[in-house]
Amino acid sequence: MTDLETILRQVQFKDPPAALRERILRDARRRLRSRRTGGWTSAALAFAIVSLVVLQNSSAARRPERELRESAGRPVVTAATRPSPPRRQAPRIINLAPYLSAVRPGRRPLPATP
Amino acid sequence: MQNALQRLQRGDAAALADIYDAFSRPLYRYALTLLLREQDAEDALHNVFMKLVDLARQKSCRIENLKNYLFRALRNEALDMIERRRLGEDKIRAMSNGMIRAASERITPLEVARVNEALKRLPREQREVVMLKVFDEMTFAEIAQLTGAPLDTVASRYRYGLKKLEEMLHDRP
Repeated sequence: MTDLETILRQVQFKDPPAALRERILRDARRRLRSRRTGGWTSAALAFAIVSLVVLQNSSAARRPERELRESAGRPVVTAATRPSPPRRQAPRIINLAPYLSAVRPGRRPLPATP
Repeated sequence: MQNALQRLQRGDAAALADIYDAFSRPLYRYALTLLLREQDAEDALHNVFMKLVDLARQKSCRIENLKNYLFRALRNEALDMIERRRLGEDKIRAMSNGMIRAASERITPLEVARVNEALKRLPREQREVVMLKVFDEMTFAEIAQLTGAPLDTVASRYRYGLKKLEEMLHDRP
């Protein structure tokens, strides 16, 4: 061991303050607790949502569509009352040839507007 | 200590106290070596332990060697802090408030202050290796594994570090 190493062994690094231990343990406890309760809360919430969906689906399956729509205040749509989809209009074809030829040099001037 | 980790994984908060008592001193020492400031070292240690708690509660948690994990986590945390705060070495040195104290009566307060100043002025990589070798009695192989540097580099950092320290300590009256 060199002289320097001997000197270095005569000093020591400062210790962490006692308050740091308390702070770390307190925060860790809080974190562990919140995670535990958080886990239960989310599990309970998930269970409630799943139960609600299952219940709704099972009651909906037993009722016909007309009854469901009527109870919801919506109009009952049948084949007779269903509106037909909007008809598609044929695209208008515009002849651009006279306009295009007018911009080229040495061609006829633009025809008069009809 | 693996037992304490298993207890922590089961949500036993007291297990963290055992882990803290076993590792806080070497970890704090390492944090001081890298960050040079007590306040930063405390923050780094706090963050490392909080991350350990978070990790331990995950089902996929696999920590084979707790000591290695903690040292590596602390190193990453300290280097991230330096990176985030965009602090150069000079600024870090200027903010330092002393890392060491006398361990025996044979060393005077003046000598302690000189050693402190010399350690502070060492480049971080060299200071890190000197500290891990002298104070934690780690082997070069262990330091290489921790820092990710080649074995030869670690050995030369140690050699250069000691040489510089010696020069600095003998330069001053």
